[in-house]
Amino acid sequence: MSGPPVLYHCPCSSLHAPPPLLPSAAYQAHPLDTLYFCPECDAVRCARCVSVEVSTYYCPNCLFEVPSASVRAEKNRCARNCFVCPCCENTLQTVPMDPSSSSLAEEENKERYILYCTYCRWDSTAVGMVFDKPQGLASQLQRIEDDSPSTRELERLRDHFEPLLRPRTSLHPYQSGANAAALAALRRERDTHGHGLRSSRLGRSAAGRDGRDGQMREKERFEDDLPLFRSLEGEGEEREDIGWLRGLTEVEDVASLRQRGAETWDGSIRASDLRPLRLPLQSKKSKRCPACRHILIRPEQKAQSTKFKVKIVASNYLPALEVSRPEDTAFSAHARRRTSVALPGALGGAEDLQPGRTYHFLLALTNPLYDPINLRLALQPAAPGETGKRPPFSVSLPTNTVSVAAFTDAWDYDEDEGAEDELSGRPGGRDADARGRWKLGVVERKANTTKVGGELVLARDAQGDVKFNLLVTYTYKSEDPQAQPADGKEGRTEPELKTFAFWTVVHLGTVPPRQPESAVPPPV
Amino acid sequence: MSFHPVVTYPKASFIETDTGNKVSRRATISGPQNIVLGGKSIISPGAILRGDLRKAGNAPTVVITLGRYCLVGEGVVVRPPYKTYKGAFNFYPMKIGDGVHIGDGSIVEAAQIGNYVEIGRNCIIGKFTIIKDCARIADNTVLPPNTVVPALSLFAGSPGRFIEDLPETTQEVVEARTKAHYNRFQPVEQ
Repeated sequence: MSGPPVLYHCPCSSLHAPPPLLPSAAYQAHPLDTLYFCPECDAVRCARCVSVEVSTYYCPNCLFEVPSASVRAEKNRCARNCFVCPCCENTLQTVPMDPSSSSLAEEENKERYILYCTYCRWDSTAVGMVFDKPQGLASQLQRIEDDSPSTRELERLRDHFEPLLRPRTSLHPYQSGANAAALAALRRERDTHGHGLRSSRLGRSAAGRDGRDGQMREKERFEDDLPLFRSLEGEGEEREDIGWLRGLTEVEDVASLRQRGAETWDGSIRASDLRPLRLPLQSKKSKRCPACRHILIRPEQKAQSTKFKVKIVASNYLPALEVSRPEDTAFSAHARRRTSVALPGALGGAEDLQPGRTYHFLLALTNPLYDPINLRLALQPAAPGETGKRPPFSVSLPTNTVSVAAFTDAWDYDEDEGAEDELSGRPGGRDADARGRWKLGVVERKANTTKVGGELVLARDAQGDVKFNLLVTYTYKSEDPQAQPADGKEGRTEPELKTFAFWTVVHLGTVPPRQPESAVPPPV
Repeated sequence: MSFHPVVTYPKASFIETDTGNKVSRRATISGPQNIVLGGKSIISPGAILRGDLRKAGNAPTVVITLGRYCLVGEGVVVRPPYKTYKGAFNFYPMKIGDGVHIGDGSIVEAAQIGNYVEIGRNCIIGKFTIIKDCARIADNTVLPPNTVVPALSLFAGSPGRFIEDLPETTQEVVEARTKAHYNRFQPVEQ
């Protein structure tokens, strides 16, 4: 990445960008590449606010596209030969049980197969799983899963609640109130027997908690309440576990929370009992504007295609901002030359800022539109609450309008000149003519990029990240075809000028924490 | 990308081919007749490309195929995968697409790497791994053999696991970055 990043504010959480140093502000600013743009609402949308729909399911290992009809039957997991290692979450391989006799046994059709982890060397003989043929393992495993106590418990729960939900929804299929009524009844059920449900999951009987009398009274009050749910499980297993835990010598023998969370519902707490799981499916998602439901992203059906039928992203609409401190890049280029490492690589971490100094920085504004734009930068005034104290740094930027040339495909081809007039490309001569040559305003225009210079003055007590909010306003010619007919039959009218504004957060660097001897309490 | 400085190298330290590939003289290229470079790719000093590890037999084969605008970082080892199948030990060819950057110090034994894939530094990409288009492997990731990395996903950790989906713009971003990277890599006479 080039220098410190510039993040873009999405208006989904608040219309104006919050002060950038608030911890909550970090969640509202996004890199430009991750943002979408709704052309109907004329607004930026982020991954957090778009509404997401699944368009295709696929298995991330065998890359098989699973039709959505079978996704439910297969419980969102791969129904072919993909399994997750219970120890390290790697995908397992199906291997012949005895690799040395591979060719011979294969012919005789006597070969048996196991699942094997190429990372941690776990294999399925540890849980007594050996297969006669290397295909269709998932169906065998799913049978075991379907047979597990927790699955049966879930089925029972579903059978228990279905009589309540079904008749109501079928009686009033078009009334939204029907569901609400059913839910209300369910809520009552949950309130009265909530304990029961939860403790039955733990293998205890509900009756002991609620008491018979209370139950009877509830029954009289709500006639359509369900009968009390009774769990299948007993409590013997838990006793056994406690006994086992007492005799424990190695903590690794207990399955980690992560492993148990991934297991089907009531996993054993013993690491040695963990079974391989079928690999969870992944999905390709289409995304819509949350306000007007305009489609923003629609992927191609094919699971591994990186093309999109619809892709409306902010980087095609908003000018791209990049920021750099030229002294810094000159410094790192210089350092690179000295160590004679003529190799590319990320610019080293931005040099720390020193309090009390003045720095210059450059903002590169790149226009993605096919028309030139006029752009204006504005700093956010200090929040009213903070006016009492002096801000730890001040930023000056040119406030006049900056024009940025249109993007044309031709810019892609004249790359040669880039070497010559790259400002930061000449580390040697920089220091000599640096004095007085720094200026605010347009420093360089090249292709569809304009660079403007700014100045940063740090106070003596400045500390921490130097970030500021920047409002970018730009005007462009509207190409909206719908706008034309509205003017009647006057033919081509003057293209309408449209204005769009968005907030960005510019991060200029970090002032390192003060040495302990001169430490003062940090400004709150 | 407008602020990245030009990176220069002494002209004599790299060999530039007709198609614009830049191969360091300090890189080890074994079996060059079995290696195909797509053009405008950079092979850094200390990189090792094992084109000599080929399928048994005398017929000419291509062992390593590298696309356009690729970067093989410093000290990277690119070694075709091998296995014993039906009693016969064999090497299998490796295909790498366009715009693939492999970070310094990584070891790659993948069977297939798609287009615009970024592999970080010090990664180990196990045998017969398949990495689909626009995927990204974070620094210091270990992908065990036979891993499959779906398109547009980020993998990290040891063993490498799926972390998140990458943004839909990844292809354009990586394409622009790899092209700019090649164009900034300029020779100087010394």
